[in-house]
Amino acid sequence: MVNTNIVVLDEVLGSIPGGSTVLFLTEPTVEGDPFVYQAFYENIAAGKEGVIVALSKPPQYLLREFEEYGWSLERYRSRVVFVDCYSMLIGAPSDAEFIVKHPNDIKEIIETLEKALDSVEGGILAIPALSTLVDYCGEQSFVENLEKLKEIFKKATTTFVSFILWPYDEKTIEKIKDVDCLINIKGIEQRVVFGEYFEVAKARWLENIENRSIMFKVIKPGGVRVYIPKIIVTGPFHSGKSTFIHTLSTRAVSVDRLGTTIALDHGHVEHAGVSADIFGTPGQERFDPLLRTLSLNAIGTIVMVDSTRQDTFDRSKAMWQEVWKTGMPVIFLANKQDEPGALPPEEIKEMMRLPEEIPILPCVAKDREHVLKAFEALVDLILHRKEEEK
Amino acid sequence: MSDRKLVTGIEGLDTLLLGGVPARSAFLVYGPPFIGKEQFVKNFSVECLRHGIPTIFITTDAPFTQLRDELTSLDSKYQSYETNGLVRYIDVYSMSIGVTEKDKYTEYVPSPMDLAAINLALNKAQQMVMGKHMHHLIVLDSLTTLITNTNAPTVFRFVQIMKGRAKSAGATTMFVMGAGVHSESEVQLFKGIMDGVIEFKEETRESKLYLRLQGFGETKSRNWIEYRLEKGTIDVTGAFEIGRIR
Ligand SMILES: Nc1nc2c(ncn2[C@@H]2O[C@H](COP(=O)(O)OP(=O)(O)O)[C@@H](O)[C@H]2O)c(=O)[nH]1
Ligand SMILES: [Mg+2]
Repeated sequence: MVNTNIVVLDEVLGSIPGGSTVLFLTEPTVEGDPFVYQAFYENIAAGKEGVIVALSKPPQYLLREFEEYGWSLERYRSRVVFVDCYSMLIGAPSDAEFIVKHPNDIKEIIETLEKALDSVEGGILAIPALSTLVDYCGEQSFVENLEKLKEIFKKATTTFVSFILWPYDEKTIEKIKDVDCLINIKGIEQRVVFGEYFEVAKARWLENIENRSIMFKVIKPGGVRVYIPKIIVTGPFHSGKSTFIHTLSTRAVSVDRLGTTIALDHGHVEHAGVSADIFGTPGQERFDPLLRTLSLNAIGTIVMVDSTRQDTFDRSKAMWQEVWKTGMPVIFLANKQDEPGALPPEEIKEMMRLPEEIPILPCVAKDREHVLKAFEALVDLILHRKEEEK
Repeated sequence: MSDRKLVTGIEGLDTLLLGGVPARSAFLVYGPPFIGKEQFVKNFSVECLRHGIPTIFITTDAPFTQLRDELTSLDSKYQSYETNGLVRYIDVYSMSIGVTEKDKYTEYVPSPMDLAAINLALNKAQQMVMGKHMHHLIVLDSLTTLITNTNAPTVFRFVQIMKGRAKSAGATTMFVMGAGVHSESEVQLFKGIMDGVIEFKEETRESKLYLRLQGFGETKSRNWIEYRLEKGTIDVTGAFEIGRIR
């Protein structure tokens, strides 16, 4: 079974049928190659063989790039075959298994690729930045040979390709898009590209595809992570918000005075293929306008309840109502469950008269396991993961 | 410096340009080596930095350290521009010859063929300078190296994307291109998508130097104007006002 090994994307695609070509069509200012690297590496690491084509840089640079993501291809070097379409262009030596002598001759590239795939009897084929081939060979020669190239792709178990959308002829792009599976990778641009997202445009083996845009970030080391730009943690004073954010975060800052958050808590978390920024709100009522501002553009909310302090339940509920209006996913955490006298979550839910569909989970904010579970639960809600998908 | 013009620092040229290069324009500096093109590029960049305009240098022909040294010798305060966050380098040269040292103002691109990597590095550099500044300058030196490493159509597509994005980011972009290397149709292709061209030439028989402006909206003259190279800077000596006195 072959997957892309990119969270959410795999949930949409399911397992990829043999012989399929998966194309990551990338705007010039966003990163598409890491998708190909990640899909290739994870499949190789899982025991498959594969061919990787070096087009715009020498194979040793490719290896180094994998290394930067934390993926040691070197360790599985015996299962990986390189096709070097670069070194001969600059007259450099190469120790790749297959070397293309004239990289602007697309016929030679196709022949070499076929030999390389035969040498591993199929396997995974990875071609980062296939568009480089258009640049080397010229648009016309590329288009004329594209069908032939696609035939070769079918020899692989799965082919992962990225293609950069330089302003080529529209017809060229239409022909390129004609593959089994098409994933668009785009930038959210406003003066500069400040966010990136992907969406599955087509997968031949699926009857219908959820129309979803998924934000991501490329992290070194780490690779492609689904990115949630803003989760807020709210709740009464002393309920455990700062503690929660610090336990969850790989890095965190608090603006505290005498142990109380007077401005913001901010943390960042990398977990289970997801990368998220977390913001805490101050608990005191005089900061409520700040809560309103903070909840703008937020994608999910955690409401903290101090399970030992029944007198603060109303306050928790009021804070929830503040963000509930926006319609974003919310979960409650019944915190301080390790304290004697902490009320159990279901009892709290009843006392607060929360709607049935609102989840409430037990929590100990100092305990990483609890905190990660809470985070996962909120992420599932945000990403509309259904129960059966898990 | 006004909001709409970037002073070049070369008096005669600023007069010709009615105050300077229009902000947010993309223009080509074209000419053979060693007759003034390089001086213009450096003088203009330093002038922008003096006025607090951040500058992103994309170097393909020399390591960024060489550029840094040259600019420091032009302006003794150059280092302070770096420490004030006004300078970013994208070095497309050093990795190919195997010498790179970590530098906090520099991003390396492994190969002049990897135009996508240049684009990504540029976006990153822009994010760093744009938070605090309305304008910035991008210097790409040179298109010639990119073209000889790939081909004109490929670089043309790259320039199309880069130019469009620079404009929406509020950047002025200076592309440098050498004369005598490219075919005439290639030169026309690139001149054609620019907002302006500053062209340098040498008349070997009379051993005189001339420059000429094309595009840039309104200018004082579109004729070839004589200049001299004086102590590393350009001295426009040709009379261009005369034409206006009828
Ligand atoms: N026993 C216990 N104490 C907790 C827990 N979470 C937070 N605390 C403590 O409760 C106090 C308030 O926590 P803090 O995170 O500053 O609350 P905030 O005001 O909501 O940011 C601190 O002394 C924490 O150590 C928990 O799960 N169990
Ligand atoms: Mg706090």
